[in-house]
Amino acid sequence: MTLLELDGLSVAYPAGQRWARAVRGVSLSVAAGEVVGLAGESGCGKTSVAMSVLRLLPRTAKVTGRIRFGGTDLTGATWGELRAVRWAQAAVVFQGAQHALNPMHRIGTQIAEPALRHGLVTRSAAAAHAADLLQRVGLAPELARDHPHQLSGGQRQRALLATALSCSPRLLIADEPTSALDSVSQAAILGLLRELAAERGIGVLLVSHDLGALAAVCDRIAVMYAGRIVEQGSAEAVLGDPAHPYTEALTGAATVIGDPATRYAPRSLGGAPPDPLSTAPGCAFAPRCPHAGPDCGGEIPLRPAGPGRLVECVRVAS
Amino acid sequence: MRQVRRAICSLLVLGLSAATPLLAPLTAHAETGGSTLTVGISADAEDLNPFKANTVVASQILRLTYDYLTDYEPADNSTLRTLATNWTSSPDKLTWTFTLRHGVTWSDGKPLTAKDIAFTYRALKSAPADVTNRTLVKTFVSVDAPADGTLVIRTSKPTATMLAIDAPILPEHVWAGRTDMYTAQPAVPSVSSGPYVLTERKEGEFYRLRANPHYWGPAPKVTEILLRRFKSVDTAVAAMKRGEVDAIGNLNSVQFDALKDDPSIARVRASGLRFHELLLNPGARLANAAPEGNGNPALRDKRVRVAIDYAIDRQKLIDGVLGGYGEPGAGYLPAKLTPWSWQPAPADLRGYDPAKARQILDSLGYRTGPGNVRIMPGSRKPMTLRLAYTADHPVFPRYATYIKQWLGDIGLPVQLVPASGSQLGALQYRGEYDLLLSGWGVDPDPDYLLSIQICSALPLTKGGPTSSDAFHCDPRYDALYNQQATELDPAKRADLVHQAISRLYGDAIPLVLTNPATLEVYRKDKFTGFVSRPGPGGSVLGYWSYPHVRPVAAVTQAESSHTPLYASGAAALVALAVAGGLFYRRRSTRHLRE
Amino acid sequence: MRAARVAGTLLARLTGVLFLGFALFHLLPGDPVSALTRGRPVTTEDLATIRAGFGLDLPLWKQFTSYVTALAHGDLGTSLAAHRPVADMLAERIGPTLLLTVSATVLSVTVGIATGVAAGWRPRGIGDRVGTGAAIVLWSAPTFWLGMLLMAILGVAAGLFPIAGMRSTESGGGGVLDVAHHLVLPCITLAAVQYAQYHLLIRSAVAAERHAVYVTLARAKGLPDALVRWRHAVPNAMAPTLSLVLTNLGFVVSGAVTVEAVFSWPGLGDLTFEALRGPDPPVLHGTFLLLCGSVVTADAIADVVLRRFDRRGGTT
Ligand SMILES: Nc1ncnc2c1ncn2[C@@H]1O[C@H](COP(=O)(O)OP(=O)(O)OP(=O)(O)O)[C@@H](O)[C@H]1O
Ligand code: SF4
Ligand SMILES: [Mg+2]
Repeated sequence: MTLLELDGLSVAYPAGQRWARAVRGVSLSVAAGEVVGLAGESGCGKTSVAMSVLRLLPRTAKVTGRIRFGGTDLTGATWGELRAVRWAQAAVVFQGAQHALNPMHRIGTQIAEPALRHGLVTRSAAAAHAADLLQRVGLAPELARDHPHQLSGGQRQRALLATALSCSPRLLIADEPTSALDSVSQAAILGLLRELAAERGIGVLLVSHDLGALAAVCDRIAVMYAGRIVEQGSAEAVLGDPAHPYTEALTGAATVIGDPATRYAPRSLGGAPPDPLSTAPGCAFAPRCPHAGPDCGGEIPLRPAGPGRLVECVRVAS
Repeated sequence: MRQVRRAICSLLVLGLSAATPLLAPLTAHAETGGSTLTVGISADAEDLNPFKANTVVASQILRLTYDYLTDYEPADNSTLRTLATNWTSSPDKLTWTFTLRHGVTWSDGKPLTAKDIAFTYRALKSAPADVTNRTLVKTFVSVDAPADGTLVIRTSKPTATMLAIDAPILPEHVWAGRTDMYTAQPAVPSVSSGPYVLTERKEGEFYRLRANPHYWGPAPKVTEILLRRFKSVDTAVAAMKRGEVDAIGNLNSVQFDALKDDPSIARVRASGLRFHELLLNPGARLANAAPEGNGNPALRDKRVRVAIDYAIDRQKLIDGVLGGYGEPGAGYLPAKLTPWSWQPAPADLRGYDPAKARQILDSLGYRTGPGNVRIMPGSRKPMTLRLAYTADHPVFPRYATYIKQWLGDIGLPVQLVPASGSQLGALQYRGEYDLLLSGWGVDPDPDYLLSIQICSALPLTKGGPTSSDAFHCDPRYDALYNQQATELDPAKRADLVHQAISRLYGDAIPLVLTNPATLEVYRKDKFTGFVSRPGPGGSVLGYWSYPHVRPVAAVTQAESSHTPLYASGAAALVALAVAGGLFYRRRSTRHLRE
Repeated sequence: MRAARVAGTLLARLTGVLFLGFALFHLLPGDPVSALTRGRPVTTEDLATIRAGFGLDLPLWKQFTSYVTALAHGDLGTSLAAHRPVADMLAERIGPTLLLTVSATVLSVTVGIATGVAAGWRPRGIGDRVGTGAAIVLWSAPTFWLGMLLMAILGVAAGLFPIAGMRSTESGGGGVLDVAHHLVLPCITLAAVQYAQYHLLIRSAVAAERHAVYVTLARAKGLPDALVRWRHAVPNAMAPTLSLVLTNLGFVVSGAVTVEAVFSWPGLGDLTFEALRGPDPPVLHGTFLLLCGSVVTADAIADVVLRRFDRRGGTT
């Protein structure tokens, strides 16, 4: 069953008189029990996609396209409908755990808060609920009484995950949930996500720049470049046999799992991603592409390349 | 989290409770038995110690609560028989025998006898230097009470001020033997013998005096006097319109004029027992004749000082600065101060005559250089005169502007030196000025104001303390002063005082500019019977008046807070226009430095 | 450790205040004794004796040491005008001033939080325009002007509130309600003047918190707007406000001078004002020490309280 369906999603941010087009027509779906990875260089628009689902982008952002969740269209939802979906149905593990927790509140309070507000637990049961969730993400229940500044970066990231699980959502959007973790903890969290998908049928959209991490847990992977999904397909296919020149470069670059440096620029790639303000036609990757040719300046078709596989490159034969 | 919520909640609750007064029913102004005369005052009494007290308010309170050996008749300044009903002095003028009133008691019921008076004067005599009232008894050799009704004072030399011993008489049984006698405050309620007793004292707020049931004189008509403190006349006036205050003194001309059309308010323009003066530095020096200060040498010449006097248009000062409320000054003491005042004959009066001023300067050789600026003979430097004044009181800066203009017109450019009150004091005592604006309030007895012009008031050391007003020193004036101080015959004494003042006028060192009127208002719809001093046209707000004030018969308590909106609006505008013109304070009771 | 540092800073600052106080009022031009005895019948010799009595003829350093010794014994000297211990006079006046300043602070903070949060949550909205506009107008209006206006409208024209003093002068005045009634106008005036600071500060703090990640998280959690605002955004915005409130408490006391003058409120401001006119250096010095001391102390308290309050202080 398809949980989340993005269709032609675009996000633009105001930049002076112009618009920074962070996401440019993304179509993607996540089914129940499925883990979908969203990969790509820093700034390619992953978080913009993730945050647009629950309409958490700043008011100034212009969102177009279609966001369907469990059959309802969230783009036209009222605030009340949206509030009902938020957390109870779909939850987000925010990127940047350092700032995502409220410094004034105790960890336990923050974890239990959504369940409490959505009427899923009583006030008296809230503490036990928080302790339970903390244990689930591998933290000591005693941490519930601490304030965020008393936790390490990794502990905070786990606490955020616990918060996201507070209402047992059907969809979990995890934006770089392991970026602050050592490889052992990282494996544990990824295992937990896998487990949630397999045992509870939760759909997971896992955002990461770390292809190695995605490879370990994802059923499918979508690769983003400059606001577009340039390639998507099954994890083995995309990573094992990259079709798009950018994916190729990325996989080559991602040999050092968990190395934060790779986040910023795949090593085998020269140059930088295009300015999101740019409105130049043709393939956005062309300036960095070793295979670029004159035909890359026109309309690039999205072509199926095998079962469930879509690639956006003129060089790819359908 | 919970703490924060609690904090916010308690903030809200506190906020609400702070706002409750808004919702609380207004407390009605309950009328208690008897009548209360509420007088707005501008400053605190500060110190009510009967030996030391020296503010206007303190002196009013002491005068209302204690008796003095004698007082002054409001009508003509003659001696009023209060505790003393009769007196004789010995042929050698050194022994005074007072016969005392019978049946005077303290407010605690004990009799007041000659022993109390003797006790008070002896205590004063042995008081430390900072009890300035002790100069009142400086010539006393002994004070005895041979009988309850008889007081005998022996003096070292004839003393003219024996009927002006302005010290309150204290109950010996309360004050004797106290180690803190010279600092202690009177108990509340006070044990005193005057028409009122101090029953409540709230420094910064009010002083409550209630009629003394044991008072020997006629019982006061208002049973309570409330001296209520306001920090600005404007607030006091607003309170008067609300019916919270019945009388206010010391208004400025704008405030006074603004009340012109209020039918419930009587306005009193009291010819003032005060004067504003321009001091000319005559070449300041110490008692040992060593020079002091840095006055302009040109002013050492009396003729230059006289020329300056001719350049001053006093009527213009009265109209332009005092709003028309004042009299031009000439002789040292105000004309109202009979019998002591002396004024020059019309022929000798130095009226406004700038041509004459120029002519005098010309004849002295003060050439006019470039820009109409005179040059002192034997010098090359163009003249300038520094004019020091305090900006604390709004009238002085305006006097200064006029004087600068007039002296500039006769070729003597003036440099204005505004100063704070204490800075001005320092300039004055060190002789570091050419011209200086100052002012005094006047006591019924002239002795003190005459004494600040004698040579022995000059400072002993450089920068040392001095009680000299303007470094005036004239041996012949001193002789006249000393003579009057020992002259017991009032008529002869007055003649000596006149001679002294006429010499002072000739010296042209203090130039009396104006005798500003005292502007007072009271609720005539509520109270009547005010007594003015000195004589008709004098001030009605003072201790001499309050015991005679009575409520207007059958006052219908028409609440005055029904003042129409537009009137209050006008009042507010006026208030805004003059806001900041706060009451200036009268520092001293007996004499006022303004 | 931190307590020791705060205490050390406090002590150093208080010492500074001490020196400054001495310097300000003992080196000021003008001779208080002459000013004090002007117009009173004193002889030149008497004046010299009085000066000596006050120790004003001693060398400066001796005056300073005796001043510090006296201070150590809680002796603030004796007023030249009232001839009473300065400490007694301060004690008499501090109550009314605290009543006025604390109530005005509570009022202005409460109103400032309410309007500031509303304005900051929706910047440039209608609430922001009205609230912030009003705050700026009140902020720029001279205090005495505002006081006179309130007095004219609410006191004289409408006759709702007393315009002077802190209690009725009828015997039996001074009850809680009576004092509260007298407090209304001065409290509103003082609050109106300070209110703008709190409004503007909370407004900008809330406007900044609005974009904090945890506020977005709170919204993502499906919390209603009011909860997002009051549970998440506002408490975090309160830290700078609390610090302003605390550090301001000291200043508010001196800021009350004008309000006390307009409404004849018998507080420290009035005492200072009168002492200035004297001049009465011991009293001035006492109020100076008290006012500066309270600013410095309030600052130290703010330091301690804020560290406890601001959870972010722990890391980085
Ligand atoms: N609130 C915003 N206002 C303006 N521009 C924004 C905003 N948020 C993101 N952008 C821009 O949109 C583009 C995509 O940002 P986004 O955060 O979605 O990238 P990302 O793929 O998540 O990057 P990273 O891996 O660094 O998290 C970037 O160029 C960024 O500068
Ligand atoms: S379309 Fe052209 S430029 Fe773009 S990836 Fe393919 S080959 Fe490279
Ligand atoms: Mg991101």
